[in-house]
Amino acid sequence: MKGENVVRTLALTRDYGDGAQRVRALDSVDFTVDKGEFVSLAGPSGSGKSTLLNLIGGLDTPTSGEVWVGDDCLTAKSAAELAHIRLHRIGFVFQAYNLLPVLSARENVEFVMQLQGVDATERRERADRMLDAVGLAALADRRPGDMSGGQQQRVAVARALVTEPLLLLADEPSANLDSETTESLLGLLRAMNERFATTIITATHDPIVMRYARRHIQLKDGRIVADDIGRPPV
Amino acid sequence: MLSLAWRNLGRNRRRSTLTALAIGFAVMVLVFAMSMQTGQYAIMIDNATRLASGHLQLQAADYLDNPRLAAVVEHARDLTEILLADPAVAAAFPRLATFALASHGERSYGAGVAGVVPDAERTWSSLPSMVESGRYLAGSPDEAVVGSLLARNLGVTLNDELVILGTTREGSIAALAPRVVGIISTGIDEFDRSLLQVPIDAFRDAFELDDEASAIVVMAKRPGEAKALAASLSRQFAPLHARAWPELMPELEQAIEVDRVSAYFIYLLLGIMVTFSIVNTFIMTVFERTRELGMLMAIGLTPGRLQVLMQAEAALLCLGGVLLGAIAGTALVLWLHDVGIPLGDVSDELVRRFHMPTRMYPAFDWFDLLIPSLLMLAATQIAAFLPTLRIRKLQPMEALRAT
Repeated sequence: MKGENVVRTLALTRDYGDGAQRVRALDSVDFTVDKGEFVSLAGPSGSGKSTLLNLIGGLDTPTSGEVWVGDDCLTAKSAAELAHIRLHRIGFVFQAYNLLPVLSARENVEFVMQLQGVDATERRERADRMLDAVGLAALADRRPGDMSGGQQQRVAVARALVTEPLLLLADEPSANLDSETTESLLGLLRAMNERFATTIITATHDPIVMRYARRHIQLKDGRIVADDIGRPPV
Repeated sequence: MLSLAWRNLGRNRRRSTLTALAIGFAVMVLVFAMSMQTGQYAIMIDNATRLASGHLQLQAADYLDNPRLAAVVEHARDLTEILLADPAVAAAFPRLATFALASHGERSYGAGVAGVVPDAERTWSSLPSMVESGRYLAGSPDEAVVGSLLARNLGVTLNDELVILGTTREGSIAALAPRVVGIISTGIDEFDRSLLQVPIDAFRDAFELDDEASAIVVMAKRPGEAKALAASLSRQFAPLHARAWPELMPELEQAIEVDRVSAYFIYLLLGIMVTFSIVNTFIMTVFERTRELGMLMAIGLTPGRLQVLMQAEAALLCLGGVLLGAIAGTALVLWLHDVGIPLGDVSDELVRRFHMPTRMYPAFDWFDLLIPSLLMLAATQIAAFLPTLRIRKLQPMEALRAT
């Protein structure tokens, strides 16, 4: 595997259903993403972008083909090994924020580090630093229910990045946000991408998100139909 | 993880509170029921030991299997003194016993004749309180008390003279002719048909005995430790043998054990019923939080750790309920231990026939607190485990799509 590749897929295929009901969501996709890239996966509904994202994140199992994240071939891993890879190497930002409602913003950010076994003092320092970086230092003690959608998504970004993952996967991160908040969030992701050289792959319909990505992959009917590398920064 | 589990319980406070209260109520009921049982057994044991055996008896090694005058405890006075000096012993007094023929006029019946120390019996035995007519022995050598059925069979009334004929250890005839000063009714036919007591000195004179006793009856300061005390006295007084009441009255211990086992079966059924009601709570919890469980799996929690999280929630919920139930149950038991529970209309018959108290008193025992608490902890863990098995099969992506 090439040293700089963070993600590599080989003939990645995912079918849903059986027999006559069988639907091919992803059809023999081959592509690589290098360290530090900010990639948008775009395409109409049903084009396979979320399926591709889920396979790269080890949340789903391919029907055939391979997915590599760094040096790990996810296809060959057990559920526990995949959980370990997700915990240590991949950060997730979901469309619906998916924060733990009973924890404060700081505790949500600390939670993943707690799972990693980071000691309490370091957890707190890193969580506060990351919340400061996403502009939410003042709201660290608030619970998600007391925050706006944009603020919650920022906490989700902080949670995803605080462990300094190899790869950040964001599935429609702006779907529930207004355009102003989306701009702010994307600015944040770009800043994080530049500051930590975090590889970011985001599935989106949103032209604003696509504008912020440096590489734009277009999917249609489960296949990559365009791969536009080297866009200038916004 | 514990902190998260604790906070998760606060998500649906009404449901968590109701579940904890259900667990608490079950624990309280179990603590109360088991304490009532313990109290009831204590009364049964107290009645039986005061009526007949004492808490334990120091006997010749083979006396239990073959009770006879030849198998006696020598130096009974000295041994009694030594026993009384033992801090675990509340009382010690000798008894002599043999089988003899009691006659009055033309009638003769076999009787279990006992030579007793009247003062000690009055203090420690329940028989003196069961005198139906007349009085108990006062110490005069020519007195006897007789069981009510034996008196009826012999046709004796108060102040009538009885003739008691037995055999000494050497095989010669032993005879007594005491006057009946009291008739005793225990309500137990077996007793009332053969009971015949005379002062121990009169017994010794008639049966050519000096300082011997068939047994030295011992009342322990802590009746619950009678077995341990018997074991200790057996070592101390070997080759004599100290036998605690379960050995002297095995049928009583068996009756208690049978009752205890059947009660435990009912408690187990109660535990299973509560388990089923809690299972529903955890099924709802798993279904309601499927999406969140998917998110937790996505950020790196293994299904095993998710199960641990759910079990921790169950354990905390149960601990809260158990604590509530244990406190309420203990308070109830301690209060009722003081005031007692009136037995109502049935008590007159019980008092008359079996000399039971007019009130039932539950007895507090740590065991009765521990067992319900552990039972409910186990029940809750099982209740939580069954629904969380679904987590094992959960795929993160499917869970994230759940609504």
